Order: sequence, then structure tokens, then C-alpha cells
Amino acid sequence: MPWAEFLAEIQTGGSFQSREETEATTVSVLRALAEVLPAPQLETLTSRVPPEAMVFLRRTGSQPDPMFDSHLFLGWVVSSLDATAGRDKTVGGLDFTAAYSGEEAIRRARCVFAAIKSRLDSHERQDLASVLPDEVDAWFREA
Amino acid sequence: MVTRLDPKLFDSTAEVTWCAGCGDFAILKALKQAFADLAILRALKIAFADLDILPHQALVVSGIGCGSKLPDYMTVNGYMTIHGRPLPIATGAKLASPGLHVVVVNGDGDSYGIGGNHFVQTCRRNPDITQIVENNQIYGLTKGQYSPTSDKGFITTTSPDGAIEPAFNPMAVAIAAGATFVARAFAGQPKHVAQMIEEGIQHRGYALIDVLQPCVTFNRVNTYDFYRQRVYNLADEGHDPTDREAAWRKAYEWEERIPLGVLYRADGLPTYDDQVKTLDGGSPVSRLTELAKDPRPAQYESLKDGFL
Repeated sequence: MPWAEFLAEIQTGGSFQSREETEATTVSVLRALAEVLPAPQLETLTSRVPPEAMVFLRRTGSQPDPMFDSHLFLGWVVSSLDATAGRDKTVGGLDFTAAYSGEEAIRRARCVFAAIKSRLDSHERQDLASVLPDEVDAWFREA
Repeated sequence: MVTRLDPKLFDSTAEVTWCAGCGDFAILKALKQAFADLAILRALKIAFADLDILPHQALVVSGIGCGSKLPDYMTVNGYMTIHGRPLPIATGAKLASPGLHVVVVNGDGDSYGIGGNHFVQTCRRNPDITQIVENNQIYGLTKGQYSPTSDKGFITTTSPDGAIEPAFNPMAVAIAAGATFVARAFAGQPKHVAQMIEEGIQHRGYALIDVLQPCVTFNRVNTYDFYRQRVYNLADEGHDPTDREAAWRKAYEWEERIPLGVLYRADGLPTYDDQVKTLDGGSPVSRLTELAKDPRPAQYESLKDGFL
């Protein structure tokens, strides 16, 4: 499947406003996955997504960092979001320049997970979910 | 029997108010892990589990800022000081109670900006404390102003045309000022952060661990991906941390390649605590303990004489 088609599916599923926005989220989720998945699951994922995605599935180290958790995973996704004019939940009230983006990041990650899951069989889905950090596995299963 | 302390021992019930995905989460987790792991090392060394580092044996001192909320998120002795002042408070706490594991946790603004003078003097003094700087290159709590470590040209609400000044280089300043342990870590690699914190706490003397910690809300330049593409581990390239000149060169590496790990260390040098003559007869806390056991006015006088 071409990369553009993969992104189009995510864009439609997540109601993203632009292709750039969709790509930024997708890349961030793939990069975060690359940091947490052990080699067998990473290989499975690499074989199921478009070849263009392979470059985003290269890990920093040879092994996943055992302390990589849901906060860190979310950090990658939040970094891809435009926080401007979002819903502000920070202490101090309204902030028009930046806002808490956690819930939106989780929603977007789920959209990418849904596209990935549609390319895996049930065994592969379970296998992948079982090695994700706590909370991230729930986002994956619910996607 | 040696048992492994669970980092959850240091969990607190306070609600964490950091932004989702904030790099501070990794530092908090790494610090808890380091305390727990150090307990193991000590236990292995002396074979008595009752000498582990427990929450009451550690003090975490912070200043003001997002990262300085950290002591609230741990079950440990905590002291939130005023802006930029955690280092002198930590030094005083260590002098008063040398048995404490004193760790300072603050941000780049608190440490290198508002507390810049204390930072330099602490490097010179070499007290036996550890400082973890959550370096996100921006003032996050006040919603996005450029900080001492923001790169030149960095655009924020207070630098709409880009930061004019070149960034403060904490590694180079620390080495030049005489720090005896200078290390850098990246919050995207929490295991390595924990390892650096452990080495810092085990180092006898002042240890600086500058942690590159993406602010996911206000800093859209220095992201996880930005660092991921640039960081490398000094240990993989055979860097000798006892070579001061090599450390100096590494301290100036930025932009294309950013070194992680221990840049410089000098072991065996006397700490500030070692050289305070007043402590020869025991620390103030130990003397107070003696006084509490046997309170006599004459003892108060001798205690006062020792400090006046």
C-alpha cells in the first residue's frame, strides 16, 4: 500500500485538517513505537506498513528502553501537535498561545493505531499490544 | 537477603500537573529508579538491607518552575526554595546533616539564569551534592519565554525576532568553574538518565547532570525527534572523562552532534564538607541529637561557640 493511501486512511479516520498534520502525527507515533517495540514486533510492524514508513521505524539503541512509558510515548505525539488555540487546562486560566494537548494526542495516536491494526491479524495485534507500555496498550486495544 | 527496592516506594499522592508528554516525567521516574537502584548497590556492598537509601535518607531540593514541582511528586524529604536558590539551601542541608543524600532538581532558568551565581560558586566549592537540571531551553511555567540555554535565534514571546544572545553553555561553565562531575543525559532515554543520576549520587563531590528535556508545549524546536537525531553516547566513542581537555572539547559540541554521558569527572578531591573545620566535632544535626539525649545548658554554650 502506498504511503499516501495509508495517510489518507488516517486523515479520514481522525478528521485531520491537512495532509501535513496527518503525516506529522503518523511519523511521531511510528517513531515512538520504534523506541518501545522489541525486535520481533518491530519487524512485524515494518513488514505491514508502507515501505516509506520504514525510515521512521529505526530505533535509537539496539534494545528498547525498559523505562520508556506512556508519558514518554505521549511526548513524541504531543510534540507533533500545534498547541495554539487548543483547550487550555493549565493553572492560571486561558492561554491563547499554548494549551494542554494530552487528550488530543491520545485521540490522534488511536487514529494511527487503528490504521496499523487494520493491517495486522488478531494474533499480531495481541502480540504487539502485549509489549506496549502500560496505558499505551489500552489506547492500542481501544483503537 | 538482598531485596530490590521498588521505585514506587518514592511515589506520592500529589496530582502531577505537568503537561502530557513532558520530559520531566522521565526525570522523575529516573530519579526514583536511581534511588531504588542505589539502595541495591549499597546493600550489596555492606550486605545489610537496612542501610538502603530510604525516603527519609534523601532530600530533594528545588527552586521555582515546572521541573521544580518534582519534590511534591515523591515521597522523600523535600524543600522547595525561592527562585534560583536551591543550591545554597542544599549545601547548607548537607553541612547540617552529612548523612543525607542531597539532590537538587531545577530547571535551566532556575539554575543557570536566576541561580547562575550560585551555580558557579557551587562548582567551585564542590559540596557533596547532586544537581539534576531539567534543561528544556525555555521558561515553561510562565508559558514560553526564552531561557539562558535557548539557542541563538530561538523565537518566543519575549524574543519575537529570535534570541539575540548565544546560549549559555552549562557544561563548559561547570568544567571551567571547577565542577568535579559533569554529565549530560536526554529524557528520551530514561534508563541512561537513571544511570547518570546514580553515578552522580555516588560521586563524592558536586555532580551536575544536565538533562535535555523537551518542553512539548512551548518548545517546538528542541523536540524528542530533534535530540534523537543528534545525541550520541560518549561511552561508545571511547571518551576518557578524566581528560579535562577532551571534556572541554566535548562541552562545545552542539548543533549537529550532542554528546551524552559523563563529560568530565575528577575523583578523590576534597569536598567542601570535608574542609569546614566547624564540622570536625560532628555535624549540627548529630550534635543536636546528642543534646536531645542529654540536655544540659553547658552543651548549648559549646554548640553556640562552635558556630559563632
